[in-house]
Amino acid sequence: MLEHLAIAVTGVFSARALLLIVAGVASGLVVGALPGLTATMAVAVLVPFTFTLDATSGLILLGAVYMGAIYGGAFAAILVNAPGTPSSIGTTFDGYPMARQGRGEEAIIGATVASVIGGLVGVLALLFLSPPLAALSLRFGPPEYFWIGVFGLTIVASLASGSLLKGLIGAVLGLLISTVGIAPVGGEVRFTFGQPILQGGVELIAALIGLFCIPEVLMLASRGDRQAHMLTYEHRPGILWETTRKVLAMPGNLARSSILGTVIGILPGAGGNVANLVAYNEAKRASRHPERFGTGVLEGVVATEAANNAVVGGGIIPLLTLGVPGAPPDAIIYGALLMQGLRPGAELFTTSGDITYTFILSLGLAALTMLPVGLVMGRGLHRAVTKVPTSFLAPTILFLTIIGSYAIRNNVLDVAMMFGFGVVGYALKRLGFHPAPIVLGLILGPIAEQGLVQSMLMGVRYDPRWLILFDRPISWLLIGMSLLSLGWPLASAWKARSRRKEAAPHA
Amino acid sequence: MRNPDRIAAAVMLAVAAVFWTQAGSIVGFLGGIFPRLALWPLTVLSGVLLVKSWVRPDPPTAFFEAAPTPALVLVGTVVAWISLLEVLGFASSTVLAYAFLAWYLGGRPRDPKRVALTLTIVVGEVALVYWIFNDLLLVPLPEGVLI
Repeated sequence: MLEHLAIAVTGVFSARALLLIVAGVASGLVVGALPGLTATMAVAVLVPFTFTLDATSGLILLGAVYMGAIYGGAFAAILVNAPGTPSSIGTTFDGYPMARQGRGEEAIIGATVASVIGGLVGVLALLFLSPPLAALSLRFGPPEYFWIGVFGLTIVASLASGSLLKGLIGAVLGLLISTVGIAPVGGEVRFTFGQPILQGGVELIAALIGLFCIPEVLMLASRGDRQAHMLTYEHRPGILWETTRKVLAMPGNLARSSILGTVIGILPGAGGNVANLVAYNEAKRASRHPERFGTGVLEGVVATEAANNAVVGGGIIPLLTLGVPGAPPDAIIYGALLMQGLRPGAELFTTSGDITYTFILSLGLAALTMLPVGLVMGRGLHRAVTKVPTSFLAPTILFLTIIGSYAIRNNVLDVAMMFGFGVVGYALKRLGFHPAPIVLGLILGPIAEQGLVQSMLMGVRYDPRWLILFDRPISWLLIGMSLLSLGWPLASAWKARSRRKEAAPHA
Repeated sequence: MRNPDRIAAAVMLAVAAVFWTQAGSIVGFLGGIFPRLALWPLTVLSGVLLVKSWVRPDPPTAFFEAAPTPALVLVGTVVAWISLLEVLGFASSTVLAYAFLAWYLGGRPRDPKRVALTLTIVVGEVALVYWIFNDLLLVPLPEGVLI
């Protein structure tokens, strides 16, 4: 390993590699920042550019684009409340309120520093802990995936922002919508109402864009002439160092969120979209002022951004060691690996060790590069958004959402579905339903259903079959975490009510 | 809306009812287990919300933040925009819809210079994005009789 690392260090600090990293991070950031264009899309559209490059250079470019795109999602989340990627959903909860309060620059700087640290932690895990973490990922079977889905749903309590009841209804609605289309096991057609177009199911990205972006645009249009600009901007000298110090003064939050992102990232199919929400939930639980989450606190932004960039390194662990992509962009990188004649597994770290370790180190450098590139581009973007009048900003957001939803499957029906979700999302928002629990249900539904159904198939020797869900140690750990996650907000609310009752006689 | 909770509960119960009617046609056990696992809580929780709307309703709230007309015009324009994507083509339908929305949301200016400036910005932006996606990144955009 040391020999390969030494060669990798010289390789990654070459002028060509550094240029590719900067170009990759910048272009990934731009694509990730556009509402509707995901990290997967960013990596996918840049794959053809790697055909002309050698294996190492191609992988360096893709890795940098991936890291930049995940980070770029924060900008759309903070500036227009439209997560650029599903992994930035959590960033909207506090990032956008901060921007509305004129603290958008602080949110962007906080997101940048947190993303760098999270990205570095993920890469360190990839470098030194690949074998044990890969072994851990193998211990997760269908029953564990089902409980991950359940655990993810308990986060609704944190996301409900106001009404837990409506949050739970939203989450269950999301679960139900995720079942539209063809059943994952058995192939039965469900809830298509006789419409063949629904057999492909509801595309998550189209629903995400619609539920988050369109209500914002409709509200912008409703406010009309009363609001010439969407956001205000006031530069505060010294804000860069002030915010960096604030972020670094949250070591617990940074460490916990980065580790969560790394560990969740290694779980194929579960990681990327869920990690930021789990990290947000845990940061809220650990905070001394959980009631402030959702109103514009830097801790919330730091938690989500550290976690989602840690997923980059975490998701590549099963890819390189087992050939199992942790997240959709990893699947694209897998294709690029195969095209270059590299096969995942032990051989990748021995025979092709030079290329592999150069790639891993380049991810670390890409994480560091996000700092200068992101601060320059991000703050510039913030200033641009504050200067663009609402009359242009609203159609621009619509324009990008249409491109983003069309580009998923080159199908105009996805665009129609996106807008349909948007109008419904606006109505639901006015009725008190936040979009986050609905999207959470949409994300977790397929994970939980596949886990449940496969468990039922595996549980042939149990009577009843569902006992298999309670028969494994990791399942019990996840059940415990779910109960804790569900019980904690209820216990906090009960404690707060008791404290108020005690204080009342003295008032 | 005088009682948003009651409206919300009614909507969700209606959604649950529609899905229940379809759930009956799911024959397989494996295909039907998860949808039913989701439908039962949706029905029960919506019922709880309905009860809450009588016992402890949320305060009344407006459906539109301010004047509804701009939002309705925007919805109508976007519906037309999406309908024309594969008729006229992405760039043409986008220029039409974008320019109209920028003009409408900008206060419907009548000054020809302002209108011309708006149109120039819109055409330039759409052309640039079209080139980036269609020609540079090779991401196909909807095609129609025009571009």
